Amino acid sequence: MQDDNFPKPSDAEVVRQVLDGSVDRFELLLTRHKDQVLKVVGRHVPYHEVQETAHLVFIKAYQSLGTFKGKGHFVQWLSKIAVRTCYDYWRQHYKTREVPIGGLSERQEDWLEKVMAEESAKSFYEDASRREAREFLDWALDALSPEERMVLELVYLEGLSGREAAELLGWSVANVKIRSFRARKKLQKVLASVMKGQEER
Amino acid sequence: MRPAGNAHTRLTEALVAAYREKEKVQVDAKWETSVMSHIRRLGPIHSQGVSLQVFERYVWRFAFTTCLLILILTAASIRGEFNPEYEIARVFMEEPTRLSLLAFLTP
Repeated sequence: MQDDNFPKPSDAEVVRQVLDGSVDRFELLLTRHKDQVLKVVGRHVPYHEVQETAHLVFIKAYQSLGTFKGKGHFVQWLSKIAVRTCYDYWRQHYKTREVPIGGLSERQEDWLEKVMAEESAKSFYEDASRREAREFLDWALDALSPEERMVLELVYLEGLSGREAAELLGWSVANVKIRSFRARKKLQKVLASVMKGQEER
Repeated sequence: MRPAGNAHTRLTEALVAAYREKEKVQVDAKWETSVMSHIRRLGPIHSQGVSLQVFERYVWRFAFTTCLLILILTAASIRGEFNPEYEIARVFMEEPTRLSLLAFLTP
């Protein structure tokens, strides 16, 4: 049993111990930060891919542990790895994607109709409606490139600043601004065309 | 008829809400065990490996600039009709001090 009075080692200390050869000490970092990694990964990749992607995040973190300078917080450093791993996931996914994006399913069309008919406010908090909204969102994001998808999720859906998103993705702030602007325009175009189609029905 | 802008705003708001309310994924102890056993299989990290990783990262970071610089210098030397043999001969003729230094340096 762990003694609560015994001071817990900081993340930087644990990292040093792992780098000195105590591989098992990495388990402490895994236990401490798995929730944060799952939260980040869970937002960016499909539900059924979260565990595997989070697994990969910790493997990458372990392999590049020597690059952690110990100046900032370990959790921030780990979040960067998590975001970049999700970005790699989408790049890989788009490369191997054989089937082009299809149209909306009947359920998604019904949901869109509800939103357009101003019924969404009362129906959104129903479980089924939430699921359809998520499916619709995934469908719309599939129309974007991996870069556009990641930057749009970080800047517009999560509400991060350009600087924060740039730091997470390892891009320049200007690059983030340009890509997020383009991604937003592209998404608006996709949504506008689907709404127009719905109105014409 | 409802303005299209309102419907668009409602749709965007609904999508942002859907994104923020994504279900949290729970993992069990088995997942942690599988991550740790993978890490144990990788073995301890050697500092040599780490410095190699850092080196590789910087190599790729500067690769584009280096290639661009090489292209510019090549283009400049071609356009300027740079002739190394002629330049060496000129140094031999005009600067005897550098000539002896060159002779000393070349095998």
